[in-house]
Amino acid sequence: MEAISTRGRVFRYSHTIGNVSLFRYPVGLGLDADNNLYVLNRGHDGDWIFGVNKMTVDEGLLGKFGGNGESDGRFLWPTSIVVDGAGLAYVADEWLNRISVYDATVEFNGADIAEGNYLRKWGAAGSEEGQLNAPAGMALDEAEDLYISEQGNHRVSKFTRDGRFLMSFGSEGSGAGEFRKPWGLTVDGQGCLYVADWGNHRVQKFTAGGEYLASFGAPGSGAGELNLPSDVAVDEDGDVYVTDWGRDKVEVYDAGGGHLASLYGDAENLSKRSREYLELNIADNEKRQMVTNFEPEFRFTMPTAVEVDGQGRIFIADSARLRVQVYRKDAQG
Amino acid sequence: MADRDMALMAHLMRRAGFGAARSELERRTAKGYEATVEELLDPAAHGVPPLDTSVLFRQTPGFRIPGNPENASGYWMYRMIHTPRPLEEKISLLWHQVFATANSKVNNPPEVVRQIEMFREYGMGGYRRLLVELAKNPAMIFWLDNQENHKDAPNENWGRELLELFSMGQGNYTEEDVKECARAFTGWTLAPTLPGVLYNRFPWQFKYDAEDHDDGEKVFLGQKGRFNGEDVIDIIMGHPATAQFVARHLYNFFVADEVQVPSWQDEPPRDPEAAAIIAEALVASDFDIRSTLRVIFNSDFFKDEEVWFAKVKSPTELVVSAMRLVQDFQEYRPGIWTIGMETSYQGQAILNPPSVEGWHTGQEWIDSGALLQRINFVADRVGDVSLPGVRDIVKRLSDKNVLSAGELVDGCLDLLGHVRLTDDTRQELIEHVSGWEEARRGETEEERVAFGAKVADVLKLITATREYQLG
Repeated sequence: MEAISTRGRVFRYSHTIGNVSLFRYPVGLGLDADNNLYVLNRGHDGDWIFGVNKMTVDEGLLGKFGGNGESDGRFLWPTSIVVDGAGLAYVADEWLNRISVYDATVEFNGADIAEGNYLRKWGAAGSEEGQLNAPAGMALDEAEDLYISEQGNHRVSKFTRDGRFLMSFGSEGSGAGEFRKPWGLTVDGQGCLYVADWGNHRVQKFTAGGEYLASFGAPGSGAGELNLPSDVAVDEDGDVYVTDWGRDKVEVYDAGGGHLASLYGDAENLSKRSREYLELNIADNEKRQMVTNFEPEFRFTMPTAVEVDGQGRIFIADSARLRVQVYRKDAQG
Repeated sequence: MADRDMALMAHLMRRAGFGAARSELERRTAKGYEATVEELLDPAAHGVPPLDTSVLFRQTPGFRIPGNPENASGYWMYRMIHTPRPLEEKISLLWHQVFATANSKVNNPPEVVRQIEMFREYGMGGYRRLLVELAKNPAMIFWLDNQENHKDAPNENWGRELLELFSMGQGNYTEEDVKECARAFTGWTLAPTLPGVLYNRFPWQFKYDAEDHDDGEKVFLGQKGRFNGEDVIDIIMGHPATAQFVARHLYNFFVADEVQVPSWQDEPPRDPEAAAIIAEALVASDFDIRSTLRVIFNSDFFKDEEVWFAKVKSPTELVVSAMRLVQDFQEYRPGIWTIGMETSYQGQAILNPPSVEGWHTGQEWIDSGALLQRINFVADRVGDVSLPGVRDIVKRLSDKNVLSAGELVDGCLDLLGHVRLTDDTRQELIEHVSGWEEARRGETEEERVAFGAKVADVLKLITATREYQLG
């Protein structure tokens, strides 16, 4: 890709992680204190075998946990994952209305340990305060309390990590502070909360206590406009990244909401696993050699989750392409 | 609201859609028959929005590019169950039956789904355009090997089926016409596409390869020229057999069961007068399917009670109409793909027809195994009083405190969509129900539960009758 230089920043495609052999419709991303990447797979009908992959950022598979099912440690419709400072991973399930907790520090050695690192679950279905209806996004604040967006209750609730209810705000609607099926959310360095307000085609910003501050994006398909945004991340400079799920792109804004860049997917290099596959499968490699237009392979299809780390890396779960695309942001030299 | 008006509306909705619950029948009957026909024919012009798939894709991301057959059939099944534009799905089902393309060979579920999307887009427009789109459709090209149809080595599969199954029918062309037709479509092929082995499937694309096209002179159906594919389709459209062939398909699908397609060469149409009216409507409208359907739905032969329940419901019609009636899967929940699989258990694996001839229809839908599967599937749903559609039926029957056996049976027949039984079957049901304790709405929760269970039992009995298999 051509690097995008804008207002003192340069955005560049870095690399791609995974392929069909590793991921099935990844919908959630998490990072731990050691910068390991957790990829939560939604799976699909008839093929539910994939749970959470714990990865290095250069595509090393450290292990897998979770998986499809209703029993403890499994999930049916997983939506998001966060990892706390102690290395515990929290997975939300919007069908079972529960949060499952895993010890992600377990040594996997690349193995699928299924339920072996499962610790506990919490959550009760309902619309009362402290209950959950289709938990969608999750984010930890500085005190490591957990914000959860609920697409069924059109609100954000806050819990301690062991499930004690603290507060909630929001209701169904399109006004400031109201939501339609909210999805991903994140907390910035100042403790402010950003919520991907999916059905209202915007991202809303709130104080830690839930007071409305600002809105990003407007409905539409143009640069800087949003259609059904699914997730949001904020980097150390306060730049805001939004997966524009309905239009297969990622929008980047500055802290004030000014539009910086639109990313459409630039996977010009194959992931390590894909290169290895083609080395072993000559026939498929030959078929690729006949193709003259590779552009469709570069682009996002249903980008669903976005995370940023402290080193300028931007991770995007390219859900229907069964991979994670990684970008870098650098200061313009 | 006249009872016959509602019954006629139920007939229209069975044919131009997948049946309708009582509340929809009441709404449409109040709106009027002709107005409903117009809305079904052109929903966009009447403010009926297309199905919003965004929440579906959020809940089931595997439906966006359905990488496996279960997702593909589940996705289409979901659309049929939930669409506010039922005729768009019904016409797609017709063309899927006529232009039968199976994933078993194509081995690319998203491409088979794209073919259905093409039917949805062009299926009610002009038949010529539909045939051109079909000839360029990647799944069809692969299905009938036209990517192997080369200037120096023609492959006749597509050319033969275009004439035999897609436009004119056997007996109206020669073997030489098949060969010339195939020559005209040389070079209609597929562009190289990224294999889907790494990052899911990428769309196949039609490619016209001029260098591989046989540009020589051809003689086709008595006409001579350096014909390309579209020229051949133009000649086909001008042949009288095409109007008759398409008319018979429309009659068979929308009016009453015909004999199987391979017998059409030998057997006259079931209703020659109606077939002629439809063929004339096709020619008069330049083969516009929407205009022709308007003629059919407003015709006397369509409204005639002789053709009500004169079709055996296909498995897809049976399953979708049951799901729409009981309003199952209104709330998103895991498992819609299992409903997509259900039709295959009953003998119609959608997106996977047994051959290019499609399925044998009418009586051939029914054998003892399929019948049991059909009855069990519908009975399980109408017997579930937790489903909104069944709750609505129970509630409507609760208007009266006490129902006689006759009232209970007739009420259930009405609310299932004006189902018509033979007098003998109806009497048998009434006698059976007469042996039960009186159907009393009651006042206590226990009595109401018992009443609901009784209604559900009658619904199950009705759906197990021979007549319920007809639509």
